[in-house]
Amino acid sequence: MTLGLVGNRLVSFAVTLFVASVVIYGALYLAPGDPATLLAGGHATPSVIASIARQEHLNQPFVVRYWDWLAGVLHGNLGESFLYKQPVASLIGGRVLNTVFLVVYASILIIVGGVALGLLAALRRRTGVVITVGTSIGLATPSFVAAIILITIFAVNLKWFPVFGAGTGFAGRLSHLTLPAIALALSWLAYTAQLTRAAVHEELGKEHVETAHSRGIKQRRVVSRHVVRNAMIPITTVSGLTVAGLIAGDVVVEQAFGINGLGSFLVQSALDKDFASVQAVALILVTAFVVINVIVDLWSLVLDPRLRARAA
Amino acid sequence: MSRSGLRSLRWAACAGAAVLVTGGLLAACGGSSGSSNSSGGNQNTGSSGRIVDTTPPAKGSLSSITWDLPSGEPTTLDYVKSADYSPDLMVSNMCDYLLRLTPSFGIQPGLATSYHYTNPTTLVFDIRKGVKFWDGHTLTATDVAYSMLRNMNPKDAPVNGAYYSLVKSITATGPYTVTVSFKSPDELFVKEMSTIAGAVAEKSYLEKKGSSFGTASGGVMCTGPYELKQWSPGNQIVLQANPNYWDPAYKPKIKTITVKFIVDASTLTSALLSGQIDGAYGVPSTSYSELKTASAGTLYFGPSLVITELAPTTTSGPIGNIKIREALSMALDRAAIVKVVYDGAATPNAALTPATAWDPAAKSVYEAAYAKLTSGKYNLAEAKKLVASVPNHSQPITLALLAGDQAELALATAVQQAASSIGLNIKLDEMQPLAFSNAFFVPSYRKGIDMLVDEGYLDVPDPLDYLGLWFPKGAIFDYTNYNNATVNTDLARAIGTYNPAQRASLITAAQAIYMNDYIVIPVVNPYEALFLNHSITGATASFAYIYEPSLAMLGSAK
Repeated sequence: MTLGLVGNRLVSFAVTLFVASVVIYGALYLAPGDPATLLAGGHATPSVIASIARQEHLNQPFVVRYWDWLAGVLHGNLGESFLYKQPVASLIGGRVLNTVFLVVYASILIIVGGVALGLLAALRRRTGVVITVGTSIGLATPSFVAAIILITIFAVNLKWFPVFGAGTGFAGRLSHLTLPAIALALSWLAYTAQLTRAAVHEELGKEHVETAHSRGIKQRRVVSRHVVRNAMIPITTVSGLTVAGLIAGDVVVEQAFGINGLGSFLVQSALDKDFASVQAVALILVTAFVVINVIVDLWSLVLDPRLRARAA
Repeated sequence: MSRSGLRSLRWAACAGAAVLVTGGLLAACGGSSGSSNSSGGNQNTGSSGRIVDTTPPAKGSLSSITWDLPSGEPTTLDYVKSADYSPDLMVSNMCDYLLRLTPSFGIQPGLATSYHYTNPTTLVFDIRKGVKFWDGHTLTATDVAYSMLRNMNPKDAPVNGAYYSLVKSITATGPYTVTVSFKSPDELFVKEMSTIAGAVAEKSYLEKKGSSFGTASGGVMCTGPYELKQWSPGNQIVLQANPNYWDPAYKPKIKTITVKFIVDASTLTSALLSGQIDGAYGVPSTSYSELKTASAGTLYFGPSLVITELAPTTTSGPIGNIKIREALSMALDRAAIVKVVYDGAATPNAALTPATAWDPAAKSVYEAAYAKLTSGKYNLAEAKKLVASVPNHSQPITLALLAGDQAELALATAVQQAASSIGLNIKLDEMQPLAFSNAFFVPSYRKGIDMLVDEGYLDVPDPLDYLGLWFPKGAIFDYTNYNNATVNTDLARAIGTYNPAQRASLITAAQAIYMNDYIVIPVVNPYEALFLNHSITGATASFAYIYEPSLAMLGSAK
């Protein structure tokens, strides 16, 4: 990849972040509700609300507030949550790891599990039928439904896994986040499996594969060198995008499993109109989304020499 | 105070209210003394129909339990900024109040050993000697006066300042004496000292921490049974027993209480059923049916100072007409609503305040006045007649409720059906949490709304605690510019009347007028709901839990 391409990427990344921040700030600003009443509690007289709004600068115009926020961010300060009176960075700090662990765990399940099931379905006819039916069910199961089923069976009845929370340390997180990761991964995993099956099927019927077969190359080698490698290109693109999509799905799963992560924090902050917190989490998510897309692009280059030639 | 206006409402309006006891049995899951020793699922039904103030007393100590706050993480642990279930429960277990609210809503000495009026506008508190803050400093009258005065200082953004509105000055008049002087006599103030409005923290710590007091980083410094050991935002609050607590009756028996913030009803239910969470107040009503048959623990119901009502917010349209409000009230079959919507765990209510708020010393006065109210009478034929006499009765009436709240939706739907049976046309408007909570306090958010589903609560058993928010004209919940000279005078006189019977006469005289004007359409007084794992017991079951150090009563069941 040339320097120009990297430069382009960086500029478009910066523009994306800026536009996203304006849109999110604006949407939150326009959303109904005056957050000062949250601080005022059950005795929110107009004077109490007004004095809180003044103290928290909640009554300033959009441009002023946005500018204050932007200036802070450019100086490396994400601002303070008006609700918790804590720096946003410290509120997010403890949550990032939980979300990253969950998303990476689910991604591994999707990529490894999805590709393996898809290959199996494509190469073994009988097993293939079972897998196709199974993945169709998985595809149609929303993560919040999966969450309820998984909690009822594996956490409440069998007690194999905890019901809620993120745990601490690697082992703690592994046991706490297994059910959430499955709930989060399920439909994407099913999708990846079906896609892999289709891609492998397509490659299996191609001339170069038949040629390889006719030359007496062993089935295993044909599959690994000729079929899978070519099929990997669409699979990579799609699974990369699904991983990026996990960031959105994560919000639901974190709520359902009571996980203290970025997703649940984003929902709560948006409901409370806690501007600084929403902006910070949203920017992290946008960044993650962009970075994953770049990784997918780069990986495609590695896989596909034609793309490499074009990029050069 | 209004529940609906609070943060907690986004999750479960009828927290501690509606009950799903099948067959309409009255609170079949209310446990009673001794029930927690039997095993299996039948201990719940074994005490059916019982509403209890407290759970069976604890038998021993425990090293740790996990608790939950269904209303979510508190935004603050500063007592002057707390007016919601989550922060109130936490603060009440960490900070002592001048007086103590008991499970049966009685008021006992707290950090003040006694109090007396030297004249109707001067109240003197004798502060308990030998009480120490967690850091070892001794409590003095200076700490008390300083803590109280924060409720009057706009810089501290106090949310309970309304209780201090008649206070002229608060002075430490001796090392262990605090004198409060009032602009005019205030009978309610001393009672409110048993709530979070009477909380005491350490002066030097408050001064040192400034605005960070009560935040996750600033912490708190009080004298209460539990110390704040850790607050990790979003994750948990850890309370640790204060080994030197002064009051043997509330000496903590559980060393460490880890408090979680699960708000999702189904996640919380699973966590309670699996024993990962040991207990919670205000468990979601949608979980009652599962929890009452749980083998993991017992669901208790307790009396509450909560009221569910329909609050008219407009003077125009059909609802602006007294006859329509009267007709709607008459069309509500409250007994059926208790059965169907609350499955028995509530009492029909015909007034702005619940019967649980009646002063025990003047109960007969309140009772006699309540019996004369017509606002709770169910009479469809009469209601239809009233409606027909109003020309614009078929215009739509918008009833606002909290979006996503199943309990409120069930109630609103019942009201809608009742209205339609007498020829009224109610439209439901499910509002987003923040906008809905704003509607209670900011007039612009009530545009286009004719009525609100309102869940209010009183802090102490005194009708004036709630009436002060509705009267006179211009009060927080006066949405309709209600202005009746007699009501205003009676209530203004009542707050200055120390004699319970005389005060009750004034309050009930006002009640007869404003209820006759249907300034509100009362529905029910729901019960509080508490779930405890079988391994623990001792906590208060009544609504007094929010101000009593209720977790300090907990201990092992065996």
